[in-house]
Amino acid sequence: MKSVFGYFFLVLLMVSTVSAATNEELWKQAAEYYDGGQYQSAIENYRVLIERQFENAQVYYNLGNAYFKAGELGHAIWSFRKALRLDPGFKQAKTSLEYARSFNTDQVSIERRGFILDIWDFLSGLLSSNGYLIVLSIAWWLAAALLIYKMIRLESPSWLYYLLIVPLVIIIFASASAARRISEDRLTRWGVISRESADIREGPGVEFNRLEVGHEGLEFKILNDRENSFLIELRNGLVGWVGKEAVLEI
Amino acid sequence: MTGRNAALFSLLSIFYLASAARALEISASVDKQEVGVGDPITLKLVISGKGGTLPEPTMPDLSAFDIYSSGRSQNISIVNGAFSSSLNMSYVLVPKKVGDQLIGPIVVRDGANMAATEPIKIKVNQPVASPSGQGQGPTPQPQTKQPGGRPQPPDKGSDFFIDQVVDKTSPYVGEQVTLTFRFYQAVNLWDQPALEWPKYNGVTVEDLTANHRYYEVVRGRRYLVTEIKRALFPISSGKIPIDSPRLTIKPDDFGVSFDPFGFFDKDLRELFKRGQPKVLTANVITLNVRSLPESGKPDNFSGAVGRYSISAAADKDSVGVDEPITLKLILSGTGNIRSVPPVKLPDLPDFRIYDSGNTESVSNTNLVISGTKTFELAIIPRTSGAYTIPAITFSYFDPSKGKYQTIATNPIRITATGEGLADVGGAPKNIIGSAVQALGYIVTDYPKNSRPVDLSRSFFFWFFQFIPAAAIIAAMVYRTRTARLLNDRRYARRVGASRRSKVLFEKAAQLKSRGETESFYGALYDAILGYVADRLDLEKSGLTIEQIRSNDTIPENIKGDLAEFLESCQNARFAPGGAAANHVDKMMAGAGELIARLETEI
Repeated sequence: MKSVFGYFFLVLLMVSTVSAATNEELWKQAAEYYDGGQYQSAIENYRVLIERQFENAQVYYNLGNAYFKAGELGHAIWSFRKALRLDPGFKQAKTSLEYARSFNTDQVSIERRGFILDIWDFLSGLLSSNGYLIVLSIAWWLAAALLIYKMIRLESPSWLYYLLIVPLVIIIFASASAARRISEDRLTRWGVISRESADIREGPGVEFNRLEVGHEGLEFKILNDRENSFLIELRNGLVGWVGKEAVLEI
Repeated sequence: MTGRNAALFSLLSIFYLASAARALEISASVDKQEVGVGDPITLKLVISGKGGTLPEPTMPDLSAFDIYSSGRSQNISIVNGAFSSSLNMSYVLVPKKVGDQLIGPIVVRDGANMAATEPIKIKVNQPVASPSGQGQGPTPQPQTKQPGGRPQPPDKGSDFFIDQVVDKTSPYVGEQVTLTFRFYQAVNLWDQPALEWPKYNGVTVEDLTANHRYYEVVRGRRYLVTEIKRALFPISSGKIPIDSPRLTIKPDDFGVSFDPFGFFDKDLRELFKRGQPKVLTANVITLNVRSLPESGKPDNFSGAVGRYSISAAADKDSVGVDEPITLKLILSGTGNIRSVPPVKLPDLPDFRIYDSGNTESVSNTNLVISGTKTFELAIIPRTSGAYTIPAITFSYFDPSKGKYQTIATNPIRITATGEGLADVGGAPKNIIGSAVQALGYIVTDYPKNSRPVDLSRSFFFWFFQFIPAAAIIAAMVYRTRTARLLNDRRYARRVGASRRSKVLFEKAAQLKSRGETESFYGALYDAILGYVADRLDLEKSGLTIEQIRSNDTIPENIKGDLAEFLESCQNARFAPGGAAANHVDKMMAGAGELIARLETEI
């Protein structure tokens, strides 16, 4: 009985210590835990920071690292994606996310969509939505300046109109890319499997046929949800239902 | 159906059938087409098609060969929700007759779809003399062996039996034990055998060889022996049972005698027993695993058993503070290399140390598990100075000598210079964003709790984009007005009327202030007349008061006042003795009112 009380007191002490610590103390302590290989303790600290609304890309990035080191691949990918959602230009998070993805059991192949669409996929993924909006803004100001000059100076050369094609093409491309980034990064719901494996079924329940087995770290779009299941779409186009208990929504 | 429609239908049908035929494909290949009798040939079949399941092939008459299945694998891929599969099957064919033998078309059928391989011709020569002993080549030569030291079949004349043996029964913990499994087969099989390995407790397993085949004579009967070797590594001391594998076979009872007339000697009831499965088991082996000696055990011993060597290398010996050095520790040797834990580094307080991962390669050369494990570390000097990474030691137990060994790397000298780079997010600048595929370092600097600005939701961003739009609208207005001024004379005169009359009014005001009343009235007359001429696009030089009175475009209510004002100007201008001062002021004010009325009326 004594030892139970002792354990209870120890836990209480740890909880009260974490509760009393400032955000900065928790942050530094988490880094020390991480360096010392105590990844679960580091995870605990980062989660407390997030619960305290100290929610930024760096916290999620560090949390992802700790999860990865603790062997929780699904949670690690979820954390890196959260970091990139908050700061799409966070290069370390991008690198670590790609590294974590390389450990996925399910390396879902994406069907090639043709040369033009592949180029479009590549170009529209180069920058964040903010980056494309800045490109759009620069091109728009440049096009406006050219147009105004051409209108005010009646005797200006006609080839100035042809020069307008360059910023106009950039405006169209940057607008489309920004719209795509905003749609995919913010408006689309994404999920990741956090358990060792989860059945992807034809319907929302175990009574439906199993289409595939998804493993920890598998990412997908969430198209819809029912009480206990998500309707998901994999990157290869496979659509099915998976239980909510196995999914972390990003 | 018209002729054109019929042709179109036929064309579509051909395309449909062609695409349906493409859905199921089969190909066959052999590793050699000229062999001796008894020399095995590997036949590989690849069946591919749409869907998750593929049909089994129908084999042609292969009575000129003994045929054994040597494995199959299936790959399933999903693209846009559509399944496609490929089934790889492998067979060993052992020719029995000299001459040209044919592997006929192998057919697969799936409903209406069918595919078949091209026939393969095999030239079978007289048997080639082979060296004795069990070679390790992939295509073993048939050999005849005496059963000395080998297990005997459970019953004299058994068609099949299996056995398993180990090379040592009293190994140390972690020492390799080589298990040999053999399947003795005197008759053909109706189907490929299914081997099920037991679940071992207390040992880890590495496969050494698969499906090594040879002939052996046991109790005067010739058997085809399939041999598989595995490496077992005990992980605890004491008695560890090695249970028997289970081999399920379906004997081809009618193929025993290889006699074409043997069929008539058979009991026809056996025809219905053909292909009945049988389960074969072997003896259980007990390993008496010895624990590692306590005497002489080094402090840093981490459980490695075998024979190892270690080396260390840094990718550079001089760096700036906060720049990483990649330190590689390479451990290689024989033993269960996969289970070797990371090599412990000595305390290096002058460095920040990050694990960059490890790689391992394992081989089974000469039936001994060996390999290399590389531990990669990023070490970063905290301050400038000359440092030495001391010798890194590693201890292992050598079972062949029965004692512990300790090996060490050479010390590595490193010089760190400079004041260090400013941290970006806690990690050295030159690591961030590098193309190296690895987990990044955590951010150690306390971050601000602020989120980056989302431009798509920023009012100021979109307001900033509105400015060029407003400027373009202004430029369009300007351009339109300028063009009209240039091209529309009437418009240009109307627009410029006020400005020009204003100039004359100013001139009149100056004349008034100088007391030049005659000139003042003249300027006032010109200003009003000029304004009317500009507004109505008339020639000012020929315009008279009478013409104004008779002009239809000037409204009646102003026409009289205008003519009267102009007459007053003329009268006052040419009146002898000049006009009174109050008349000048009255005319000046009256001109202003008149212009204002004209502005709205014409």
